[in-house]
Amino acid sequence: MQQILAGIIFIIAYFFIASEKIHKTLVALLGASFMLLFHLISQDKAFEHIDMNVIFLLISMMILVKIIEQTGIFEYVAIKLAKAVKGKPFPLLIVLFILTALFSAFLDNITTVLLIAPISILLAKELKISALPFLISEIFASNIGGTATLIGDPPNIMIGSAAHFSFIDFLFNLAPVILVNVVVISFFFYFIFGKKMHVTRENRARIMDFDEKQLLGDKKLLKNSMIIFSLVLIGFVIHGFVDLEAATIALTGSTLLIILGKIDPDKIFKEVEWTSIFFFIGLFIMVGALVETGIIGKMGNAMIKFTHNDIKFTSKIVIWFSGFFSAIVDNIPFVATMIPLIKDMGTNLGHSQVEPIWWALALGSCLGGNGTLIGASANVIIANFAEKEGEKISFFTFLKYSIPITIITLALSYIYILYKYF
Amino acid sequence: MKLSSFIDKELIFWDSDVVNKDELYEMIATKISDLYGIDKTKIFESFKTRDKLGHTVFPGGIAIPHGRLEKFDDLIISVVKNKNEILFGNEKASYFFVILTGSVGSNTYLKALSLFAKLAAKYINELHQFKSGDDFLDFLEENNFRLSEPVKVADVMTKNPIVAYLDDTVEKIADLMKKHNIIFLPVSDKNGTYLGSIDILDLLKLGYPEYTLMLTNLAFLSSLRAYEEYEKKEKITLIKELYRPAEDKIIKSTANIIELGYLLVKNRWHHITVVDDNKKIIGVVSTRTVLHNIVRA
Repeated sequence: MQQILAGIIFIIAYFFIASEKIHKTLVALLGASFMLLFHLISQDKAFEHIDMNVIFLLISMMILVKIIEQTGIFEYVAIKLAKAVKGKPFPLLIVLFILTALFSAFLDNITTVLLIAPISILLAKELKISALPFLISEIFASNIGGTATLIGDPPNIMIGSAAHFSFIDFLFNLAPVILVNVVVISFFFYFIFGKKMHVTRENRARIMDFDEKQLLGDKKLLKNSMIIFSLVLIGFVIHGFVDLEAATIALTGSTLLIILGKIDPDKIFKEVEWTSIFFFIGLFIMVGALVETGIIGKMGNAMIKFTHNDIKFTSKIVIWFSGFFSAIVDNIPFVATMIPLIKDMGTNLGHSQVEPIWWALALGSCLGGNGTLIGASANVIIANFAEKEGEKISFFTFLKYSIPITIITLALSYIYILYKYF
Repeated sequence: MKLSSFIDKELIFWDSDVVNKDELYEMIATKISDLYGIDKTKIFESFKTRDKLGHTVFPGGIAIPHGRLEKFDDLIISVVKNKNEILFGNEKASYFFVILTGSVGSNTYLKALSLFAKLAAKYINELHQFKSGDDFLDFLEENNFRLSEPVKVADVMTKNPIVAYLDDTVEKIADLMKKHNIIFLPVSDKNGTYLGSIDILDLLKLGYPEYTLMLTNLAFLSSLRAYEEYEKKEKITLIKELYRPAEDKIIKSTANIIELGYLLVKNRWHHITVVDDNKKIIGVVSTRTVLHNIVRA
């Protein structure tokens, strides 16, 4: 009875999250409240299920990035690169694509596009060309780049924490295939955008007149930010070896930067995206109730029966299924549900055995976000942005690019998984 | 508080015979000085100082001059009906409600001012009929004129403001702003119903689209295409694309000025649109109005 009730609450909540009729955070929190009210999970247990490693890593990274953002360094780099390619449109598209992927690997995707999209529109307007190729390519870059590291995308943070993968584990296992993806997609862009972009010498000269140094206002904050961010990256690289969680590294780094940068704590804590944080909290509790009532155990058994404990087969299914699913709905609740299932499999088969499934889940759920215009939050943000600037990206126009790109990236990842782990 | 409680019989001059403002002020200052022991010259000067800021003469020849004394925390009202009209600014007046108050904007003063303004508007015929100051005081008593009524937004607002319509071009509105030396307009539908507001910064957004506002700064630019194209765009961009449909930036004309000040201070608004119960626009209040009509009225 308890299992049925928990299942129903979860499915209804899932439906509302997918339909986006009510804010997803409110749905998740209400779902969590019902799980608690109906004693499907005790409050103590529920709070144990909130993965504090994920929560603190997210909060700390948000704070770090919000402070570094103020230094203007991200825009500085973008303009520096634009000038390096002399404002030529296609090379500019490629450098912005790569830069977005790189930023996205270390910042969350939404922050990345909020930083890159304005500067890209500015560059396009000054060059007197459409900003759409830039914006569309940046959507893909943010999702592809974010897949490469532990901190690049929320599903990775969740997977990393649940499966005890370190930053280096992600770098070794995912970054190579992401690099290949970036190169292949760059060629793809050449064929669809490369030949259509023309810009006059005069308009390119406008870009060359930019004095990007002016963006770096607070030199002291910039210096401190770079030092702390480098230390945090070093911390991420070694955290597995020194037995520290990634959240500890990020928490220490962000706190130090608040102090060194003389940042007003009241202000910076307000900048944390609390709605996202509470979305995670609600989800963790709901999934926790599924675990505690035994539904996950049952589903795990069903999955084992279906896959006959065949890791290779399961990985194949997971990569395509999670890719397809993440293209349509938010990948975070999906990954939150898959995590206890795969953990369950790991308990039965041995944790090292299921490692390829984790990577398949990370690749599928992150890259799947490219599938449609609503596949990931960054996509929606860029689409809104473009529309405000009078360049609408329609759902179906986007599919023209997104279907081939998602299939290419998932196929490359599929081949990679099969080649590397089996 | 009854208005009559603020008026000393000795300070009512019915059928006086002064020939100019100075004589009028001299007469009143002398009497107040006798009654309250305040330096006569100071009283006289306080009226003259306020006069320099301009005069208000209401239809029917009613003027409400006033003076402010430092370190004075009372309100003294003198009522004068002169036999002949005297020149007051550029207009002529024969009825004077002269108010002496402290240096800081006193609420009682504003209430008295608004009450006299109402009196001037509604009871001019009665005023003509009174034979003596006593008649006037009786009239105040009978009609129970009270100062306890708080000053209403309607008393201080600028009436019948210029409004912008959704289909106006930015160019037209900028021209209107320039012509009337204002930087804020309520936005109205064809029936005069409030839809929102637009100010000069909203118009300027045409030169600074959202993507520019999201950048750290614009110091790295020596030219910006959006800004350069402002002139071209203001001819074709309509107010409906730029106005702010802020539902809450309104106040009812019947609200009192305490609420008005609260809204302006709390939200740091510099303008507010005054509407009636059906959200029809009937006035605006700017912080400039607040300075002139309330703080330094």
